[in-house]
Amino acid sequence: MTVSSQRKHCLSALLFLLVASRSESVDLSYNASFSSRVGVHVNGRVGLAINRHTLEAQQTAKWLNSWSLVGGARVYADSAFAMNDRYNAPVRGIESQEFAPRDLYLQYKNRGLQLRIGNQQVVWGESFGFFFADIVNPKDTREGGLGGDLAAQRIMVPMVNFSWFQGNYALQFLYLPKPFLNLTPAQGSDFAVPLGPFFPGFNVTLSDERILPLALSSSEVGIRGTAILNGWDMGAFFFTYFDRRPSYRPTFAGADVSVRGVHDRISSWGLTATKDFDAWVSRLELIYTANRPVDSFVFNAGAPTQSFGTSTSDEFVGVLGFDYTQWRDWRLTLQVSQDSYLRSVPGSLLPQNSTNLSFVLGGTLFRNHELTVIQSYCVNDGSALSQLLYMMPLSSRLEATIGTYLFTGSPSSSFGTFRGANRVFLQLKGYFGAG
Amino acid sequence: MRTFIFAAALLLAPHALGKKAIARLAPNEILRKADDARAPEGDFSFFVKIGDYDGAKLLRTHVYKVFSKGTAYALIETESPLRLKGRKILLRNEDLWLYLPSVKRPTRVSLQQRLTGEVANGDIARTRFHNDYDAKISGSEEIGGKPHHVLDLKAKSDNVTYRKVQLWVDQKTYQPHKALFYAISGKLLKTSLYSDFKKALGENRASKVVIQDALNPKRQSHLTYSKYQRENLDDSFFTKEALP
Repeated sequence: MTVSSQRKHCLSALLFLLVASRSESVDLSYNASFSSRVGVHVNGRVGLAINRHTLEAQQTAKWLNSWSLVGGARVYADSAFAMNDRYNAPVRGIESQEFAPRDLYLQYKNRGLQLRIGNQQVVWGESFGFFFADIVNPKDTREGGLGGDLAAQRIMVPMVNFSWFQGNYALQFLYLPKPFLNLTPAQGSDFAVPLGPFFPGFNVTLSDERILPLALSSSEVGIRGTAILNGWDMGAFFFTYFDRRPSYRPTFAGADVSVRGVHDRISSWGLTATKDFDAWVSRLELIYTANRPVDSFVFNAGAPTQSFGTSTSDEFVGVLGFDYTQWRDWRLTLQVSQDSYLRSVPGSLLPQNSTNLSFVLGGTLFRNHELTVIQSYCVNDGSALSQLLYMMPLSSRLEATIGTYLFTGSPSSSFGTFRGANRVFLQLKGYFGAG
Repeated sequence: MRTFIFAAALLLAPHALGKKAIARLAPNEILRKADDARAPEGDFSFFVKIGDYDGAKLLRTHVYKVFSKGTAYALIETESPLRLKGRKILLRNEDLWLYLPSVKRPTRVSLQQRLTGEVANGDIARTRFHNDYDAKISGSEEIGGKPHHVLDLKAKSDNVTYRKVQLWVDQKTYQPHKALFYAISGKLLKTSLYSDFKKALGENRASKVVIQDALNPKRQSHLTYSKYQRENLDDSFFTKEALP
């Protein structure tokens, strides 16, 4: 979304809120948070990894019990990139500051009908930590999915979201008139996969599509049905959309190569289920995506410009997770996921089969301090991501968190690629609100 | 002599009839009346303030607003502390979801998982025992000079917070005094004490409940109920799709 269109969205919402607030029957509420996160690299890299100050606010106006208008925005400034010579201009440009509209929608809700029009997020998945079935909203991947809460990493996009629910059944239709795509890290960022090695001897420049034109042919449509039967909460969905993740198409000109991240139309079918088994709560996700683009690299000494290519393969993802519910002060979640490309792509940059094991162990310690340990382990290459978060509430409005992200494994492994991003950080977050 | 017997019979009759009336109430009816002294029927909302203690030390205080529809549906909204505002717990029959603003989607949780301190999700979401348990009178006991029924409550299904509950109910007022909650193994998990009965939505109801850990009685949660209000809540208010 461009800055001018973001401003237009926000101004319209503010005007709407102003008009709405003049009515006597309007119920207004707001909430806001301010956070400051300072982190330093570990693993040899010097300097700040992050020095980010973020303000997020949301205003809700409700009237006549059926209508509501929600408007929110987030703004941040980060000085770590300007203060550290190792980051290049594109990284500084994309990471140093941002203004983004968040939830910005008009809602009509009457009994079992709900219509939401505007910027919003829709979540279909059941798993934790990864966005397997969570395919509707594009994601901000600039910090490798570690920049904050899952909700904070989803990019709100304009859509029409119609839901009908009756008893234990619900049906949801989505229409996205204009595709918005993942916000990816610039080359040189801690969380970027370097493209240079795939184009040896060339000067590489990268540009990534963020949006596609507004046209009927580029609109996206989704449908999801859910049912609760005998304690099983089940969902089935279909979504035709443009792949949120880019595949790369190089264009060579002498010693230069311009790599463009493009996004092809794909379709996904999925099933989700959860069930409370008393001592355990189980979660399941199955997602099938037809003809998903897969980048490949097979070095061709005779024609190096032919080395990099893109093919397609059907993708199947299965996720099974369990939450253990019987401990007093601790909670444990175990999750295993399998991501398979059903057709082999020679030289694929993604493994044909990838198995991931994860667990979350969290608990309350003395004085309401909370410790969370998250471990993700890639079975294929032995790489891992360890996260440790220690949160101390300082008051009812303020909390401090000390955390660390540690990637381990070989430089070419799933998690080891990002070893340079290893960091420890301190975050202060304050909450405000009324109504 | 006949006059005396007649007069004595007249004087004793109300007691005899009363005792007979008490004895005639089926255990499940006693339970229903005890439930009425805990929470009303129908659609209503209330606030509950929960203070978690370790001995005399207050560890934390949370305030929740609870919307309840019959015995099957409840929605618990966190009001304070402010940093947790926006968290919601939805109960539909025996199924429970937690909505976190940081995740923006309902996540399945269990009735038995803790909400805070000694309080399980089901302790707040399930305001009445009657639909979840079958009652049997196992005895009577005097507490503070007042006779109480001792009711043994057995869970009708596996998906309730506790498999077995013992409930002490005042034989005259049907107000609950104490409850013991057991796991499937028969292990005592916690006790509840009901007090401060105040008028709320037309009936005297317990406005204070103290829940105590059975193993470590120093660990307590003090629940204070207030601001009961009648509501007209549609079923769709209690769907996970409508949570955000």
